Amino acid sequence: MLIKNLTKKYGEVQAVRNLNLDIGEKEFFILLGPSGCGKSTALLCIAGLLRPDSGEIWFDNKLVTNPQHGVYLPPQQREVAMVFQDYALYPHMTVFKNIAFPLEVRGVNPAKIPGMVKATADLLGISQLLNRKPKQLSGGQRQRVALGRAIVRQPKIFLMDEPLANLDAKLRVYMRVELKKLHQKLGTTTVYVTHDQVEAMSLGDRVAVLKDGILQQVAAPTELYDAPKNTFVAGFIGSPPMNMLNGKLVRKGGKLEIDLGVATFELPYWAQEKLKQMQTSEVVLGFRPEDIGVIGKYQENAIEAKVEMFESIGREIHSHLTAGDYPIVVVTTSAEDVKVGQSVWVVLNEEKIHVFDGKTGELLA
Amino acid sequence: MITVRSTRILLYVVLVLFVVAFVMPFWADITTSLKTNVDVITTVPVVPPLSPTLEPWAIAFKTMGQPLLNSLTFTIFATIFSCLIGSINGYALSKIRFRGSNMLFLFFSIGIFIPYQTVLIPLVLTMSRLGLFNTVWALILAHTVYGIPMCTLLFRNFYKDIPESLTMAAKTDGAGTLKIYQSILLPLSALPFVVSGVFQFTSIWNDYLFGLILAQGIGAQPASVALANLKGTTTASWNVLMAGAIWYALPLVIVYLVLGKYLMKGYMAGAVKG
Repeated sequence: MLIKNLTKKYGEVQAVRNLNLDIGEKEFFILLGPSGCGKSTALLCIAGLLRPDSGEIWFDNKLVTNPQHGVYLPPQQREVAMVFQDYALYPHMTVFKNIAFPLEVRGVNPAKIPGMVKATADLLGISQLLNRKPKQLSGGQRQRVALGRAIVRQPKIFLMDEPLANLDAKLRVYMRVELKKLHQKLGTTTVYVTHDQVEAMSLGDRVAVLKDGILQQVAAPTELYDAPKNTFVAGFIGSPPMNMLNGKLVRKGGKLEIDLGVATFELPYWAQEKLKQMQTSEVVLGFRPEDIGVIGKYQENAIEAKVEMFESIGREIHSHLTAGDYPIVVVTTSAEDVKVGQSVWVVLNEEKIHVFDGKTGELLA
Repeated sequence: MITVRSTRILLYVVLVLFVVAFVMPFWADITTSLKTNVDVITTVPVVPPLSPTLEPWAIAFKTMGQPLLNSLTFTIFATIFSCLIGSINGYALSKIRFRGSNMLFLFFSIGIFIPYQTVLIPLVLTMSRLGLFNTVWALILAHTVYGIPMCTLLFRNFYKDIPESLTMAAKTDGAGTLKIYQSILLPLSALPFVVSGVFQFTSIWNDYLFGLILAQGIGAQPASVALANLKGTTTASWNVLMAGAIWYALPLVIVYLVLGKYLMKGYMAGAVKG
């Protein structure tokens, strides 16, 4: 599937701006972003439920949307199935009828329908629920029925709009695994919209991060985590988020340093190489909470900080520090020998720091 | 404690007085309808009949039988037609996006406020040109058209509350515009059908003006007009008149008894959803 220069406006607001995506066959593709970033709008355009203002959408080699040339294939004729956040089950129909509905509408031989519904229900483990009405089902069961209705007619593409958002935390994790397994079994191209970065990272083959209708970065989850293209992606992916300290890039004795106000940090050699053409300018130093060591006494190139508090998550400990005005979060697996109020020094893993432009937020090194 | 109880008692006293005031006419209606001509003259209306008789009921039915049938015919048909059309309009105005849909809805809403009197002359002209004057069909047509705005409003507001994801899901499932209406929205519309059905039935059944103007012959005369004619020009047989009133009220009472429960539900649903 190919999306070219897709733009959709609501009045004056541009929900999606010039979106370009190339989604591979059998790929589990995620559209990730905060609410109002245009990810659902993009999905509805792919489904044909919304008409974009401009741009093109291609399925395989077939043009399905192009407003300039008046091309618009209605959703009924697109080989897509959609799963909605509120499941959108037909309340007056039994589970069987719900799953059978797309088959009946599409004129599948009525003799074949019960078998197909049964097979789908078996696959999702809801065979015993076929005679119930949606309101007699739990959230997780409704979710499965909604999936069943999408799967049963074997569409070319699955579109999922925050399908797990209405489930409680435990069930959400469980269904996430189920979804992944299902995708491995069926191998259907899936476009999945979510605001939950954990969901995105664990499910997606590739993730597209959107903000204010603009695509920020498309990459595999690990790349997104290790090499964010800008401060937005860096701050959005990961929990707790990346620590980001504003500073000034200065040249001292032929070496580049970042003046953070409370401390100066000398950049490692690889970063020096990348930034050697740069003039003095505003930059942001970023580092993940797990790429930090905390020590009790001064060391060269360490940043002094004060311990504010500890959070124990069980498996790991989040230490909240402050360096001047900047909060720094450190994630460790074992308790450090430090107390609240104590001064410590933060040592960065020099291989894993990021330097962003202070104005544009773009990655510099 | 004492003050609470005494206000309670006061409240009930007032309520009982209201009940008496409201029930009195119905009571007088029933007692009078069961009286002979002599009893009507010799007793006060609220006093039970001295020698009860069903004769006034029989006499009233003799003149009102055909008009009652006429009224039932056009009321039922016009109710069904206006509800169906209102439902389809409501679907189009709430779930199908098209330019000017809000404007169109506004125009429909204005229809609710057009008084009967203003359209009488064009109505009579239209019906006679259509060759429907003095037939039940004239009343069916007039009441259907007059009911469409109200029904459209009711259904449109009801459908507005049905999540859009439902129609979106049906679209991606492959259902077209008509199929979505028929398979998804229509089966979910029991409540608005009851509410607008009862509303339409009541107002069409109670209509006097259209009936008087459009259907003068006995073949199409509505019960409301026939009831008024029972009064006679020189004498008033109160017992027959009261019996006629009961015959006339009966269908409405039945409708409310059967559908009242759902009606309350419908009003409540609307109230809660705002």
